[in-house]
Amino acid sequence: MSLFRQRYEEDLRLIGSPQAWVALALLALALVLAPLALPGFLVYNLTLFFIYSLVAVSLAILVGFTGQVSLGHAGFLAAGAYTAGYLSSIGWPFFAGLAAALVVCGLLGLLIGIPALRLEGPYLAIATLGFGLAIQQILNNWALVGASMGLLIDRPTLFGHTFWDDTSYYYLVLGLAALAIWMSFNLERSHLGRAMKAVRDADLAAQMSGVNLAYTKTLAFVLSAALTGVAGALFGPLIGYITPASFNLLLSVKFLLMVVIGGLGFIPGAIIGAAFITGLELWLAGLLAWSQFVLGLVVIALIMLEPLGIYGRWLKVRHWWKMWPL
Amino acid sequence: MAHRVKRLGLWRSITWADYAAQVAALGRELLELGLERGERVALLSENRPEWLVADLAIQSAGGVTVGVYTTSSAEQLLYHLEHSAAAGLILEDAEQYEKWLEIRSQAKSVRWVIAVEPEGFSDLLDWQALLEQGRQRYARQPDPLQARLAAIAPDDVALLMYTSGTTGNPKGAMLTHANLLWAAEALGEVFTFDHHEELLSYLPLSHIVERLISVVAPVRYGHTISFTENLDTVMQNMQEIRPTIFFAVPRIWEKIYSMVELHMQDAHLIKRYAYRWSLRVCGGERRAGLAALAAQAFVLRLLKVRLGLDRVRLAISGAAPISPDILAYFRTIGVDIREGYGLTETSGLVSINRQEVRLGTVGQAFRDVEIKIAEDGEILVRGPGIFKGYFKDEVATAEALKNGWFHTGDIGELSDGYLTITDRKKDIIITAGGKNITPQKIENSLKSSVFINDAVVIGDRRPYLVALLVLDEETVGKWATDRQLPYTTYRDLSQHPAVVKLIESEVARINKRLARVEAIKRFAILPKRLYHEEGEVTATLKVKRASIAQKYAALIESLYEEARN
Repeated sequence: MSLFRQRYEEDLRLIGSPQAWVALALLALALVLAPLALPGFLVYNLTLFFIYSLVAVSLAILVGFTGQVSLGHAGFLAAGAYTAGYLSSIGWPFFAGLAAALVVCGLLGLLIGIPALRLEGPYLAIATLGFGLAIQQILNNWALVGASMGLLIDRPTLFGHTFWDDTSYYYLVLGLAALAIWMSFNLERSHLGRAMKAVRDADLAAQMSGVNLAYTKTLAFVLSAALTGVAGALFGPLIGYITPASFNLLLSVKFLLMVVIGGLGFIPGAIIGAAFITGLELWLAGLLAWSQFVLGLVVIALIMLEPLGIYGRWLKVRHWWKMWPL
Repeated sequence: MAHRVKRLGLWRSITWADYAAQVAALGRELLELGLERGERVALLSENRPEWLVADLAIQSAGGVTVGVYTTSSAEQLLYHLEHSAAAGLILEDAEQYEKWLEIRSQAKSVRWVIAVEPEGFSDLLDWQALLEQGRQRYARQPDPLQARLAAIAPDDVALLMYTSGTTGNPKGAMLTHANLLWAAEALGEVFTFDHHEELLSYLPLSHIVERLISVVAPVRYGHTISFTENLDTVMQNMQEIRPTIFFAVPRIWEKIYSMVELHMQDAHLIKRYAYRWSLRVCGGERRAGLAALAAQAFVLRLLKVRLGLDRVRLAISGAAPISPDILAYFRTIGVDIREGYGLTETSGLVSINRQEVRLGTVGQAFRDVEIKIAEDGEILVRGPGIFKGYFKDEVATAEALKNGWFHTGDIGELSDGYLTITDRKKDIIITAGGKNITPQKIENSLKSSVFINDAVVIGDRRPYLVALLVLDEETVGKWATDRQLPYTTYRDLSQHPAVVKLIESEVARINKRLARVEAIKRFAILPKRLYHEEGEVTATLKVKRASIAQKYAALIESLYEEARN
């Protein structure tokens, strides 16, 4: 009796069927074995993809669940990278720096989240855009963190082992990213996740059902920013050398693209979008000047063909099969 | 599990122990309320576990249950209460309570009213409270109830079932405990019920067949009954419960068929092709060959899963004649519907198609049932299922029960023990030209069209046949929307010239299959649906010819006038 429900848990389960367990196991196996089979630069790019997918997931929480657009997430990434990077340079342990990055970015999220309550759609986009630029400018002029010269960041050292090697850092990032993404899935099926989606779909009705609009919307910003901060703390050591210039508007737009192309409103969509954009950029890197042009074309084509994104299309296909032959 | 009921999105189970305890508790309380042996109690509620508890509790206390259709109007409720001189009434909720309020002052015999969901009405007895009191009382003094139980004789009346009454007022058929016990045994002989079976209860419990399979048989065989939330969720509940035995009236089978067809019209090209191809290779003669096997495995089996019919190993149709096209369709997709025949007065069971199905017949007699065809073709039945008589109506009883044989009022034929029903005796039309027409066959053919929901053929002592048609709003509505024909109400739709043309072509198509005398020369589309509350159809949606002929007399006349002009 597949539709027969006797407990609510049956609907809330993350892994719904034996097939899903098998798929998950295969995915985990593939990710764990990847560095052993792939060349170094691909391992590096996979690590970058994990970090970007964290940002995409955080954006999915903000834009996808709660419906608040943000064109300033590169700013949060920068804040996270700089916080963790600077603290590690003065001797703080890695996880302490990570925690600090999380807190600082969370506070920044609060800072933009509260005024954002009054803004909608394009106005919110502009405000967050400005916010991202502001962070970039602050960092550009702050001598403590190297201003426009940038900051050198070492790989972390844990229990005596320093993660210079791409492969070992890959596993560290994979572990932390998997944990964070699992928590995001849990957020989605929790009461808070449902409240966020209610706010996106019909905020007045949500309010009438007892959802505190201000609290939910601000919390979405805080969580999203904090998660991006964590991504930033992992981003710094990967790149090794960060400058304010690299956390620009284009990066923010790219993150938004990941979420939209992958499938707006779905966590797997955000991850797929991150994979797609990262992979596409890697593939187009050889085209140099033309790469941005082709990227733009591909994005336009994708959105025109499937406004619901890659994951959205996958859901449609799955539904088509589930309903077979009707 | 005895019962499953859906509350707040989850299916809750009720065990047999719970069920029995509730019956004992309510039964004990009914005694306390002063219910005497043989007194009638009316039941007015949708299908739910409480209905069954009430029915069995009333019977345990030596009373007689009178099930009233929930679609009854207040006057119809009053008729039932007055005619049966009901001592008490058990109703469901505010909706039914409103009807009671209207006629309260006139229903003198009713001494108490219990509400399953009192919803704040203070002058009604609360079901929950009564059950609680009854539980305690029964624990302290079970003897009064036990005594009543022991005093029940097989020949005592258990149920008072008011027949549909296509002509005149409903008559109260008295069914005894012996009748019901026999019916349970007879069912079990054909339908290997056991406690693993899952059934869905959605047809009105005031109807004898639903009563048998949902109330009587489970007590004997222990199978589980799941209750649908309401009529709109039947298909969804089917998918969730996936019953193993499914009984439906022809209207439901027709609805499923037209739902699938309608859906396929809009479906993806590949799906549409797969569906039509499967029907083609599996239709006609029995499925054999690789193509048919593939179609069954990859398409039709999954279609049954979507409809919730995948676990059905026993599909039955009864209570009204079913179109052979519908039977053929379901056989093709792998649901072997068996047609059966019965009347309230025969405890619902006369004949059934067993393993050896003969299409077009209603099967062979149940065990202990004798069938005879009278000289004028009327079907006569004799057996342990024949009712005791009509309550307070000796005249009607004497007319129906003659020399120990029950006169069904249906015309039919027997061949190798297989019974075929031709039509209701009273409905046979004799045209002005002296031709005998069985309207049922023509109406069934008309109803096999997805656009036509109901048809009434008129022609007694007339030069030719005409038909009054009721449209299937969903199908015709969709047809109109696809062609961007504007309409707002059902009336609009029924009068739209394009729709009339569509129906014309349907009728013409069907006329080709009929003999010349049977062809429908003119038809009119009724501007409204037929409702039980308005006295146009019975509670089981059987057309009341006399009342329709009277109500639409002018329309019918106009159909005959056109020819004269």
